[in-house]
Amino acid sequence: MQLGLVAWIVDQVVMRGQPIAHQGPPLAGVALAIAIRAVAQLARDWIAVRASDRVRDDVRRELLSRWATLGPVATNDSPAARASAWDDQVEALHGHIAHYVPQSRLSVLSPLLIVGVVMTLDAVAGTFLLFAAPLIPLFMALVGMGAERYNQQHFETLAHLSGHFLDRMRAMTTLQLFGHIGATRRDIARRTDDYRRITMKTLRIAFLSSAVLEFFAAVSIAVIAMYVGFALLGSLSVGPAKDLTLFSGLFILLLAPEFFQPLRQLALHYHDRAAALGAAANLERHLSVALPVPTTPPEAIQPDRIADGIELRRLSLGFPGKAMVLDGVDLTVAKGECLVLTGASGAGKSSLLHLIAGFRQPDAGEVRVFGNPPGTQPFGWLGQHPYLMQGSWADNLRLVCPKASDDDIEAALTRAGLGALVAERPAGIHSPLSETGVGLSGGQARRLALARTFLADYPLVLLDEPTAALDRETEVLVLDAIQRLIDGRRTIIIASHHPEVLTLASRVLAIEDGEVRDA
Amino acid sequence: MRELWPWLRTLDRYRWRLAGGAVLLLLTVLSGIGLLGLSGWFLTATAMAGAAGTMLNIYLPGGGIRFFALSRTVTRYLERLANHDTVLRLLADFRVRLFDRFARQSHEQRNQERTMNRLNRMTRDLDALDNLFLRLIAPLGVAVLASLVVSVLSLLIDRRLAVEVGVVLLSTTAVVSVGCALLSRRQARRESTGREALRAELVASLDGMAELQAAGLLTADQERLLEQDRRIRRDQAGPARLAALAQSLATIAVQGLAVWALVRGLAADQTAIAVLVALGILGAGEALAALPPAFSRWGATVASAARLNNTEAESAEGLRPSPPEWPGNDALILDNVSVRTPDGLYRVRDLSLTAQPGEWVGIVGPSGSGKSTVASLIAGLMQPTEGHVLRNGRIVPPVHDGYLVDQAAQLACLMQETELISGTVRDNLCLGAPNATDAACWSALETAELASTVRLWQDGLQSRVGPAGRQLSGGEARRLALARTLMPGSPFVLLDEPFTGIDRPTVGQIRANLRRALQGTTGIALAHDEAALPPVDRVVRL
Repeated sequence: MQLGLVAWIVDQVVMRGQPIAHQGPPLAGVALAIAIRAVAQLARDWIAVRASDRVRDDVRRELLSRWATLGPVATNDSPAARASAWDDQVEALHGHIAHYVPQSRLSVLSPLLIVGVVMTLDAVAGTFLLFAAPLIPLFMALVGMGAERYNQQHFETLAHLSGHFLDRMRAMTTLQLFGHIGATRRDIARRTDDYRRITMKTLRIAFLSSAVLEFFAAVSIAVIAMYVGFALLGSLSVGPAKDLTLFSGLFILLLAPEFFQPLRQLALHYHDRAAALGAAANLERHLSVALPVPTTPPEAIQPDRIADGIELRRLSLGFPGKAMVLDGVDLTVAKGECLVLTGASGAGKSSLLHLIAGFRQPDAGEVRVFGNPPGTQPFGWLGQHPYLMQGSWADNLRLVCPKASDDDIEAALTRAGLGALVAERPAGIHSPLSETGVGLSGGQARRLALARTFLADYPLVLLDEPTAALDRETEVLVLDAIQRLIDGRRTIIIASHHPEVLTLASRVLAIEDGEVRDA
Repeated sequence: MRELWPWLRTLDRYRWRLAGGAVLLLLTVLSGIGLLGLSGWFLTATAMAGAAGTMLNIYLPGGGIRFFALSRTVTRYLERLANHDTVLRLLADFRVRLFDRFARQSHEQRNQERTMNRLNRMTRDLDALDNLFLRLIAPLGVAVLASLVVSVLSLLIDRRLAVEVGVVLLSTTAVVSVGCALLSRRQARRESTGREALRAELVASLDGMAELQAAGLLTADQERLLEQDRRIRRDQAGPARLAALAQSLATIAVQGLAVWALVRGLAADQTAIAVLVALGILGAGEALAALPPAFSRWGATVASAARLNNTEAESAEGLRPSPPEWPGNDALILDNVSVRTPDGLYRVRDLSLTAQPGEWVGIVGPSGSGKSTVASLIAGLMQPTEGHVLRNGRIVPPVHDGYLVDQAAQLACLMQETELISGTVRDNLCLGAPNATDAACWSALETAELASTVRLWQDGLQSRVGPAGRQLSGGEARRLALARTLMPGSPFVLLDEPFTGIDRPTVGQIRANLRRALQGTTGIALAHDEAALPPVDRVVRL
């Protein structure tokens, strides 16, 4: 509208010889139109930001809940790859939702409107625009199809790159010790360069789509300018050309770039869209990982079964490419029992603990913990790779029991045989774990993790190799601490091949060739 | 702003590429202005000529219009490709440089920081710096140049208009770039810092999922992460809204100015030129529209640069002079070594110990007696406060010195923590022996009693071990790490608690195998008691 008024002013002034001073009202109209346009633009952007915000929130929530269901021992993706999906790739959706989607609506409506206006002014110019318009999405779609595929590859490369970096950063000490830094450096340079080449491949195509559009826009402006110019000179006498005035001609010329503007904007955001689609494909992979199905539907639980023990029925578990780890295991652990599982390393001790913990779903059979599916109630857990967080001793214990008082924490650490070590530190339990830059020793880390199981009064405690990497002295402390856990109320299951641990047991079972036998 | 200097300086290396990109960018904008302006002028001129019945040379402007139409497309395509390629090259450069810095950090410095933060620096912070040239410097330069060009064009009408156009366009440019940057600086910085923290916490939550799930706290923890994410997105939305506002303001200023120029031109009775200038101003407006979204991220870019600079300050720069020769033999010697913590506690006190060539010495002591410290000293991960550690008649240099020289590892280490890399079994075995044969790999696996297990896997030596070796059980990972130290080529071997997590019968077999496998090497083994040591010639108690 504002452009029409402008063209009208020019026409009035030039062709009718009216002085510019008389154009007050139309000028005010122009100002108003500019203001309306600016406000509408602002509203559009603000609303878009809001919509994208909602979507990102939903996707992130869904991802987290998926990963929780898959459980902590699923090794489909490294934490780094997951973090990259949760953060970067969900973020990539933003451009699509906030820019591409509104723009794609606009790029249909607004050119149609403009074509309509131009048609009423000059049918030839209007027809020309009408012809140019459908060509553009066609070309863009052709080009875009290629870009999409490359984009997906681009995101996969990026995720691998992240995973690779994190892994090498973690193992930096080992790389240094083995004189492997130079080789790793070359490897990183090569991978980064690969990333550049893949990205450039994507971009060459993505930019081509916008170049096609630019070209059409530029050519249309040029052609319309020539057409209108010749018409105004009076050299065209066919069709509507002879009715063209400076007003309609200039108006058409001003409208021509506006006709292409939404489409050009769309092409700019097409990059967003391609990135979002690549990210979406990757997120889809995370969201569509087959969730383990409970092998027994919850309604099949018989309430009369012992509700105060642990029951395993015909439990089987295997890993692809390896022999069955557990093959139809039947086992009942009474409440208050202290059961020790032994067996060679790799025999399936940890896997059985994971099943009881609910970290993994069995291939067949069922697990009941106090009558419930596993993992329903909190329990004490000591894994083979205890998780230690950056922070103080207290932070590390509060991780599993945020309400614990300082006294509780000190008591738990003391029971795990860490009392003296912590007392030595200047700030006691509030000192950071690695004060001098040297981390905890393997034994200390294990005892810290053991202290976590002492913190709350868990009815079930699962310990995976609690005495690995301990010296005699600490071992005695830890065994003593485990001994104190055994009070006839708590049910304790320990995976260990340590002879001293076996003596604590009320029952010892050996896992061998997928079966559980009395040892 | 100061934070950006080191990065701006590195741009210098690519100055020709960058200059080429800038020229292309300028040509694109000029073509855009030329196309619209010339078309408008042509139209108006023809209308006037048609009305007056005079002749007009239509071929020259017609050719100009066609030329600009083509040149705008071509220059824009080339410009985008060239500039993106330069930026990606620059990033690759930055990334390797940053890796170098991390590799030069000592073990101690490294332990004080989360791995996650380091990864963020390698990827996100560097990516944020691509804002620097492609989205900040270049578009700003183009907007300023475009403003000047249009201002010069306005001279065709009169000097006052030229000044007005120049002042309005340049001040609008300043407002939507610098103004936008200043207003959103704090929020953008907070978002960037918050996001780095959130990502670290997310990884922590994923790493500690077993513990959290066992404690029944996983859901609460995830809710906390989502809440934190919402807060960060609020900080992100603020600058985004500001950018939209700035864009609207720029629209008003540019279009208003175009109308004003038109009115002035008409008043001066220069119709065709007036249309040309007005359309030229609209063309320059396009260059302005790109500024607000980029500049609203200014605070984040500066925050990233600041974090990267911090890394630089942390790491020890430069190589030390090569250690002096020591009159000695092929032995491994601890000569009166002490290590003290900053608060003066002795971790190791006056320790002297020699492993003669071909000799194996066992060190036993309870947890906390300084075994790990001794292992770190021998490996070169730590330097003694007093005394010397010697190997092959030389003082053992810190491992992060001379890091770029690829050398067959003189010393093969198995530290207390099992550290594997993602990749195949073979990748892990060949870390210190890049040219080892398959036979050597199998032989090392035999000794570590892992060969029969690996043979059962479909891909054998090429089986993947997962990130940080997590697809292996604890015992398997430990045995693989042990096998790695048994690869040929290292005359010295260090084993710290080699049998952690391996079941007793297997330990017995490995010990028997080691008797033969360790022959011809010089070594030190540390353990909590003698039963956990490999076969050694003598035992020292700490």
